[in-house]
Amino acid sequence: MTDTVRGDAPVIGPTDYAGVTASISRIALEHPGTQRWLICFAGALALLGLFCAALIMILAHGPGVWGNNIPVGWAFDIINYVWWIGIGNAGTLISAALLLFRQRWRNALNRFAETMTLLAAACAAIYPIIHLGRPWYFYWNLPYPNTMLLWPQFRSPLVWDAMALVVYLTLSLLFWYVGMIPDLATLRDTAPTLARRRIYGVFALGWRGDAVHWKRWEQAYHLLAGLAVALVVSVHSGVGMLFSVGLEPGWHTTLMAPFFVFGAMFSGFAVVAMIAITLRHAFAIKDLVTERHLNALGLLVLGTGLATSYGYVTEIFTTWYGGDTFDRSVTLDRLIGPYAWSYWGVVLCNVLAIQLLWSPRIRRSPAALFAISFVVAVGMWFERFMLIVITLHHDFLPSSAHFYAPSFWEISTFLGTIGVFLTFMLLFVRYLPIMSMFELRPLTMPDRADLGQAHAARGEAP
Amino acid sequence: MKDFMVEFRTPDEIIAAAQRLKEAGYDEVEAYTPFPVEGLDTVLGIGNTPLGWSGLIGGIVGGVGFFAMEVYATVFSYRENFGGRPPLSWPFYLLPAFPVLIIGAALAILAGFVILNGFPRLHHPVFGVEGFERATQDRFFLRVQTKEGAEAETLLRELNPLAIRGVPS
Repeated sequence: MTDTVRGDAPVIGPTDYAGVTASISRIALEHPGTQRWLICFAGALALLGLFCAALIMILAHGPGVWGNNIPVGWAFDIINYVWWIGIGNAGTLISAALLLFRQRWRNALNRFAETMTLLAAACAAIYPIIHLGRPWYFYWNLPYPNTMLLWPQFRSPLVWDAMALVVYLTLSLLFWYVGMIPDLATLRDTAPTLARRRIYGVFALGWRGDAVHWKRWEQAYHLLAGLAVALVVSVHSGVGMLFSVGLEPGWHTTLMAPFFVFGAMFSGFAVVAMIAITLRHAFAIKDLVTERHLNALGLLVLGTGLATSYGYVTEIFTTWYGGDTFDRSVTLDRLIGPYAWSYWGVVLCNVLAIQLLWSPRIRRSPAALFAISFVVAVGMWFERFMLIVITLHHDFLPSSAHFYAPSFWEISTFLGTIGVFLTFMLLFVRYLPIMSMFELRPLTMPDRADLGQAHAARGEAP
Repeated sequence: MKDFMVEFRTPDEIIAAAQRLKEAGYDEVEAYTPFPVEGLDTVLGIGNTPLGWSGLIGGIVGGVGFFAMEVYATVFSYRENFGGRPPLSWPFYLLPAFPVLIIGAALAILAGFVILNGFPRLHHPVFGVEGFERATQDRFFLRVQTKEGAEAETLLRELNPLAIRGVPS
C-alpha cells in the first residue's frame, strides 16, 4: 500500500457507504465469531470473579491484605491507578486531538479508542476508593456541606486528582456517547428484531440525520474534543504532581508533569495498537483498519517512546547536576538495588524494544507491532513500579528502609481490574458499533476501480 | 400543501438538488443524510450554532464558581496556617478549578445540543416514509413542502432523484 502517512493515499480500503455500514453493523447485529467471543468472555468473567473476591477481601479486611505497609505505603494500588489512567489518556488523544488536527485516518480507530479510555478510567477509579483505610469516607475528598464544617485541602494534589478524575470520567462518557448517537441510529434502522430496534432507538434519542442536527453535532463534538485534549493534559499532569509536590527523593522534580503525560500517551497508543490489531484480525476488517493505520500507530508509539526515554535521560542528568545526596542514592538504588529488575526492565522494554519501530516493515507487521506494544505496556508498568516502590522503600533515613513484596490479593486485584476491562470491552465489541460508521463513510471512494472486487467478496452485485 | 421526501444516492446530487430548490424559492427544505455533507449547510442556509457560547458560559460559571468556593473555604470559612502557605494560595486553587471549568463547559454544550435538537424524540413523521431507514446508512433525502400542482412535482422530478415519496402527517 503506502510507505508513509501520506495525505494523498487512500485512508481505507476499497469500499462504499453500504460496505462500511455492513462491515460494522454486522458485528453488532449478527454476532460473527460467537464461539471465539464466548471463550474470551469466559476468561474475562473468570478474572472478573477474581476481582470480586479481591474486592470483598479489601473492603472486609482493609489494606492489610495487601503487601504495602510503612515505608512503602503506595504500591500496586497507585502503580495500577497511574498505569490505567495513562492508558486511558491516549484514547482521548487519538479521538479528540487527531480530530482537531484533521487526521482523517483516526476515524477508523476513534470509537474503540474512546471505549478503551472510558473503561481504563473506570478501572483506574476503582483504586483511589478501595485503597483507603476507610473507603466509605472516600467522598470527603470532594467539597460538600458537612456537619463537621470541614473542607478538603485544595492545596493538595490528592484533591486536584479527585476533581480531575471525576471530571475525566464524566467527559469521557459524554464524548463517547455523543460520538455514538448517529451510529446507534444506524443500528436501530438495521436491527433485525423489534426489541433490538427499540433498545438502540432509545439510546439513539430519535436521531434522523437532519442536516441541522448534524451541524450542531459537529460543533458539539469539536468543542468537546478541544475540551477533552485540554483535560487529558491537565489530568495526567495532575497525576504527575501527586509525586512531584511531595518531597521524596526521585519524585520531587518538575519533570514529573510532562514526563507523565508523554508516558501516558506512550502506553496508551501501545494498547490502542493492540486492540486495533485484535479487532482487525478477529472481524476481517483489514480494509477499514489498514496497514496505514498500523504504520501511524507504530510511529506514534515510537515518537512518544523517544520522548519518554528523553525523560529518563533528563532524570539522570538533573540528579547528577543537582548533586543532592538522596536523589543520587535513589538513582543508584534504581540501577543496582534490590528492585533493579524494574529499572532495567524499563530500559529494555521502553527504550530498546521501540527502536525496532524505526523499520516500516516492522511497523506494518501486525504481529510485530502487537508484540512490541505488549512489551511497552509491560514496560510502562515496570516504570511505575520503579518510580513508586524504589523511592519509598529507601528514602531519607536508613532506619526507615524496608523491603516490600506484593501479596496474593494485591496481584489478584490487579488481574481483576484487567478482567473488568476485558469484560466490558468484549460486551462493547459484541453489542455496540466498534467503529464510527458515519465518520468512515465520507472516506470511502465509491468510484474506485477496485470496488467491484469488494462487492464480489461480499456476494453482492456491483 | 404537499409534503415530499426526495431520495438521492450521492452527496453531490443532494447538494445540486438543494441548490436548485433554493433558486426556485423553496426556503424550508430539510435534509437527512447518513453523515454531515460538506457544503450542504451553506446551501440550505444553516448558520452557526450557539453551542460555543453556551460552552463559554458554562465554563466560566464552573471555573469561576469553583475558584470562588475555594477562596471562601480557605480565606473565610476554615482559615488555617498550613505550613506557612498564604491563605489565598491562588496558584494551587487554579489546578482543581480547571477541570471544573471543563466539565461546566461540556455539560452546557451537551444540554444545548440535546435541548436545541429536541432530543429525545423517538417518533417523527419522517420515520413513516418508506425507505427512510436508509437515511442513516447510504441514502440522502430532501424534504420539501410544495403547493398543490403539477409544476411543483415537475421540478422535483427534474432534480433526478432515485425516488419521490409522500411524508405521512
